[in-house]
Order: sequence, then structure tokens, then C-alpha cells
Amino acid sequence: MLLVVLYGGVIGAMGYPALHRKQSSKKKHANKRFIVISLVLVLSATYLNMRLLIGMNNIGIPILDFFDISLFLIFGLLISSFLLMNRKERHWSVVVSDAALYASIITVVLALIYWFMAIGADPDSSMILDPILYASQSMYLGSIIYVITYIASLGADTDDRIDVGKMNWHLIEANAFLLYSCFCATIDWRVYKFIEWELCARRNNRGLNS
Amino acid sequence: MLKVSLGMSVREFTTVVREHVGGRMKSKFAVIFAAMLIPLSLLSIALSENLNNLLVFYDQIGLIFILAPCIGCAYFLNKANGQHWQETFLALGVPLSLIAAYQSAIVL
Repeated sequence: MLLVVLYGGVIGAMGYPALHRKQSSKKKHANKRFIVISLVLVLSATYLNMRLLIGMNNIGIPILDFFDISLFLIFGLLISSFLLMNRKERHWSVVVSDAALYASIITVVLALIYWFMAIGADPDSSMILDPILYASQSMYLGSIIYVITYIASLGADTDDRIDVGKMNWHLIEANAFLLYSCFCATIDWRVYKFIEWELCARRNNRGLNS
Repeated sequence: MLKVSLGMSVREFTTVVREHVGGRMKSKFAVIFAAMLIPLSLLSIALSENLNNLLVFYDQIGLIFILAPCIGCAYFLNKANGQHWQETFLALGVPLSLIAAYQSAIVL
């Protein structure tokens, strides 16, 4: 998992000189056929990778298990509200990509809150994996929506483009936040237990003294 | 013509070289070479840190999943509206890597 993120970071860094360059698009009207081909290419690569991972790990889960219905609802509501609020000021692609990013971050934070509560109740329970799965599905859906929106936006005749540098930064930020929170809490669980035990002991002592 | 003499200070030398090379750096090969320095630097780090087991940094499926759509989109988006390949790499590298990473996380 981390290796793929490293590869993506390297490929992103190879395109870094483009960050401070003006839009290189020369043609006023983009050829929509090639944009559709690019979209199909990305989506089919995503689908093939899903099938490959399922086959390699010998698990019989359907493709739909990569998504969660409630996430579609949250993303749909946020994107709709962002579009309603900003439809006149900004281009739809900028609004949708921003909304997908916000939705990802919000659901990751919600999942982490639930995860901390679950791990506090019973650290050995298998239930503690559910929030991590939910957060992963959220980041996954957010990234897919962003990629589709970015490619689709290239066919639009507008100067209001997605700030890819900012979006990359926030996506990596959300990813690092999720990874760090999960790993850090798992490693330091004994410390948390100790703190909890200490606090209980002090509270009991205070009760006895008064 | 590059004019360098032995009596030059380091500052003067770098100024002359920068002026001379600056115009040529815009050529396509120079840009590709500059971009390739990034993975090469990572490879050198990997070699120095883990010479005996370089394969720990290699994930074939992940690499194919990232590179194939990136290169394909760079080609087709260039055809579509003349977008430079670096812009495509910058925009798609990180989100595609996150898609692949979370796919494997969900499966695990």
C-alpha cells in the first residue's frame, strides 16, 4: 500500500515543473473524444486492479464491497450543497472536486472517532476494523470522484481550473492523517491504557480523601 | 559560446553557466532528463540503504496501475487539448496512487 503511494508521489514530483507554469492548452475547443478515452482508460484500469486484487488474495468479495452506500449519500449531499452554494462563482469541476475532498476528510474524521471509541470498548474485538475500512472506502471514493472530475473538466471551455497542487497536498494530508492516527494509536495502546488506569486511580483516591 | 576563464570566481562561473544552459534547459530532452533525476535519486537511496534486497521497493501491479493510466492519459489529453505530460502526471499521480493503495487496503 505504501509503495504505491511512493510511486504516485514520484510521478507527481516528475510533473512538479508544471505547477508554476501557465496552462499549456493550446486549443480553444478540446477534442472530447480523447477525453472520453482517457476517462475510460482510468476507470478500466481501476476495475482491472480491483479484479486482480480479489483474484490474488483468493477472496470472493463482489466489486460493490469496495464501496459503501452511506458514503454515496454523504458525498452526494455534500456535492449537491456545494454546487447550490457556489454554482455562480466557480466552475462546477472546481466545486465538485472541493466537495469530494471535504467529504473524504469529514468521513475519515468520523470513522476515526468511531474507531477510537471501538478500541476503547474492546481492543481485541474484530469490530475495530470496520471504521478503518469505512475511512479507506471514503478516501477511495473521494479520489475516484476527483480523478473523474479533473479529466472531465479538461473538456470544458473555462479558465477556472482545478488547483491540482492544492488538491494533491490535501489528499496526501488526509491520507497521512488516517495512516498516522491508526498506526500511532495501535502502537501506543498500552500507553493509553496506562493513562486511563492512572486517571481512574487518581479519581478513586480523590473520592476516598474527600 | 561558453566563455570561462581560470581567473573567474565561483559566482561568476555559475552565472555564466546558468546563462548558457538556461536557454537550452527548455528543450524537451532537458525537461525529461530533469524529471528522471527524481526517480534516479530515489533509486540511489534505495541502493545505498538496502543493496541486497532491492525488491522490497518493487510492487509490479502497483507500478503498472500507476504508470499505464498516467502515460495513456498524458498521450490522450495531449491529443485532446495540447496539455503537457507533466501537467497530467502532476494531476493524476497522487490520486491514482491513493486509489490503488486503498483498493489493497480494502481487500486486506
